[in-house]
Amino acid sequence: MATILSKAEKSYIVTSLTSSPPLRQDGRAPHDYRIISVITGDEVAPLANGSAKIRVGGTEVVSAVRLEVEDLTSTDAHKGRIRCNVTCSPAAYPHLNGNQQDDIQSDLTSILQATFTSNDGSTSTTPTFLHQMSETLTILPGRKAWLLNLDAVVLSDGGNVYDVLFMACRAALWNTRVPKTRAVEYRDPTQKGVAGEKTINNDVEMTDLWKSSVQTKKATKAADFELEDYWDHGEPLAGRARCPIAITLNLLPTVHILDATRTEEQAVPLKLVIIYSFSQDGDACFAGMRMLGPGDLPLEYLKGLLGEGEKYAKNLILSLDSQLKTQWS
Amino acid sequence: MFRFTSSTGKARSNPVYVQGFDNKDMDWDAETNAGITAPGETIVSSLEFMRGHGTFPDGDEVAATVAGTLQRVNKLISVKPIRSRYTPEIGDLVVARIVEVQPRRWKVDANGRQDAVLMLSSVNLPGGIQRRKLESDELQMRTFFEEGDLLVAEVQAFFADGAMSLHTRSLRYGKLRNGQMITVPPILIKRLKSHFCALTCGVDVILGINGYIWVSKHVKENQQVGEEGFDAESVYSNKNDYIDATTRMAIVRVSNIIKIMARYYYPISDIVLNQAYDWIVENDYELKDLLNEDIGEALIAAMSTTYQ
Amino acid sequence: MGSRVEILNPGGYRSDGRKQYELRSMDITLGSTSSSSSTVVHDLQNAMAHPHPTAPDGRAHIAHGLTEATAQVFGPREAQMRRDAIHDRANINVQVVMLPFSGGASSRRRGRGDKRLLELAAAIKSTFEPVIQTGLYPRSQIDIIVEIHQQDGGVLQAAINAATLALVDAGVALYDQVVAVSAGLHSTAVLLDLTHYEENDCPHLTVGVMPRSGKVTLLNMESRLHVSRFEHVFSVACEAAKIIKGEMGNTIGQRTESLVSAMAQGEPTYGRTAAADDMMDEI
Repeated sequence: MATILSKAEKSYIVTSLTSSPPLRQDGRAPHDYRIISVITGDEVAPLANGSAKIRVGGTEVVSAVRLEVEDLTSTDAHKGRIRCNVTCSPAAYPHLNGNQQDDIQSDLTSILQATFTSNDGSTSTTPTFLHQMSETLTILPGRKAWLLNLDAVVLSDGGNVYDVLFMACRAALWNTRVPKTRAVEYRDPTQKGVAGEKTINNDVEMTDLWKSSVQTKKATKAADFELEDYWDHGEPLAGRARCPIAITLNLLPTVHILDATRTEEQAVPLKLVIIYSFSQDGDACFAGMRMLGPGDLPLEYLKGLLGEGEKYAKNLILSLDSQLKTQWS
Repeated sequence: MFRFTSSTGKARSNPVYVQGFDNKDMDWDAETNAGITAPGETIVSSLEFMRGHGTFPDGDEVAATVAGTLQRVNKLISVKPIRSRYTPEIGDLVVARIVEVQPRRWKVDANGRQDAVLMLSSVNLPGGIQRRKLESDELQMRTFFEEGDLLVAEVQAFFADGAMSLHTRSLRYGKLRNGQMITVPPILIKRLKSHFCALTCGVDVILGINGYIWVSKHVKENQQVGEEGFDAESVYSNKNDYIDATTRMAIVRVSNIIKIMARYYYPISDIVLNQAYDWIVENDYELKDLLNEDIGEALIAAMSTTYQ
Repeated sequence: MGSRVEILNPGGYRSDGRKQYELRSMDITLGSTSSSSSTVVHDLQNAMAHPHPTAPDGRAHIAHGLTEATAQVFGPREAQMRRDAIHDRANINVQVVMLPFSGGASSRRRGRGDKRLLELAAAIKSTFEPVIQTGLYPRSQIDIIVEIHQQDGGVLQAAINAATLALVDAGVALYDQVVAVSAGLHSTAVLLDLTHYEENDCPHLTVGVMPRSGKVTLLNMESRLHVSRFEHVFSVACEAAKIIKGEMGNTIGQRTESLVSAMAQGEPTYGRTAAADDMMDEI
């Protein structure tokens, strides 16, 4: 028994939105979000490296970051990578059976995975968020790196789950602290040399040169690392300001609304989910886009929406970041 | 455009530190407040009372099965749960939603423990109240009610398994349009003489005893459907009337007021809604201000004082 | 083994500073928790106020030390699959999910069909089946969904206690509440409310008791314990359950009281009738 509305209810919602002034069921303006509640860090998941819980109206998503050490094989990139997963609590969709819930989980996981793991389009002048972040995740270049597990759980869905999901992920990545590491090399005590120097050159044929500061092009053969900090200190992820967020616009031919409730989503099912990422200078970049629901859009209208969406995204990031900064520096 | 709450963390009750177990014999019975019960607690230790809902006999004693308030009428003891699904009684007015169309009947969600049933023979058929049911009606049930439709009906009877049977055989009952629905806990709806309320602000409210409330544009008395021309077009129509901006805004205000009442567990009736509406207008709040916690609290505080 | 922490040191203290029979601190919340205001008793704003099968009928959160569980109850409501409907009673359906970052033995994600979760769900279902008055709800379905937010030992204990509270919050008729506690044995000392570290080391059991009758509705043990020791551990656990029952009872009482007073604001005679007061004097 899914939530279904009567034709009269849907028509009432649509007519209210298209009348002037446009009116939503709870009196919000078309571009208002419901009240957003942000909780981060130890109050959410103390065992994780970074975590956040975002609640917007009846939609609640928890996201957590766990770092684990990974050995890099030669075929991988030389840097750390991200692995995403979204699960839904059965309490979020109590009217759906297991298979339908699995479908929703796969859908959300795939959009998250696609956004956070694509490495295309990265150049030296405009590095993507991932590129920058991967730098922080390196431990021993070419040998070991952090694998960043980004897990999100949808605890309840009261509409607009995409936006809340991405907000939760951004907040979790914001307060993630990567433990600082130091390369360490263990050598046979009969050889000359000191363990613990970062740029040590331990090429056996060049033992006499270990005191020099000449660095060769060979990758250091440091075989292991140790943690410099306690687990819960460390440095934030580079590029976290560029973390993508999603803006969902539910569309009618003449008006669009943000942050639709479940009932509004049913009355206005055509929606555009746009994922934005902003550079330090404020330049916007698309990190993904999905058009969902029945209907079609004229091209001009679509172009206009992309511009509008960018403004909303910028606002959201500014507001969200200032909230996060008050909780975490 | 974006508003964040001021709460910084989970609203936790103060963590209770249990000092531990010192091996003395502890008594199971905790102190009970007069009138408040919890499942498993003894209410009365004698068998002279008759046991009603929310109780069960255990040896010589009567115990509660739900958390709620004790009710005694002469020799009958019962417990009224403070939170519960709707428990129907014959004659109750309910607002319900069609969930399934079956042969000769509809299955309806009325916030109860089971879906209710609306028989084809319990609805008014177009063409006059006394029209006999034809076979073609059975095949065209969706022309009357289809999945998702909201209607207002009365509880007529119960089936053996406790499911309710509804009817819409009065002219005031039937399909709902021109408004929106709000859900509240059923216990907050007081049983009134009439559940069709016309508020002073020009909005009609139907307070379903099952906790489903319909807020809509006001329909004048003389515009209601008369006996003679039972017009299927209008009664089973899905088309809304034209509703002006003022009425729409009033509907939003009333909806938000109802949500606040539900949030603070304040019983709802038309008097209460009228008072709350006046308070809002006096204080000149905007529509969406009612979504703020502070305003909600202030409203409830104002309501409580006026009641005393 | 210098780096190993002792389970119980000679001074009688455990690895987290507790004494032998000490329970961890408990934090119980009934109903929704999203508002910081203490006067909000039923958070409908954040649970959508439109026809929504997605708002639970009852909800509770409990923390035993670092172990946290949330239980949500949906129902009694119409059985979703016709074949699940039983003609004369309710069908109880339990699901347990562990959040991926809840800690615990492994950081691996447990999917829907995970054996451990299914075992927990089955234990919870068999615990509550005789406790819920299912005969009152023929052809209905009651769903109990337990989310484990953090694990530090005593997961089944937390799940059972949370489920009891959520059922009470939903107004489901119960013959009695079920209170669960875990207990273990370290050489000859009985320990209560074990942490994960202690569970790895000591044989332990979880017991679920109905306070009114003192009867046991759950007994779960997955380690080896000598027969001669069992009775002592078991009886200590049952005694400890009374303490937890006290805390749960307080929370339920407070919440019912606050809801009753909230309703009394709009209806001054609600809940307090002269007849009820007279009767309490008679007893």
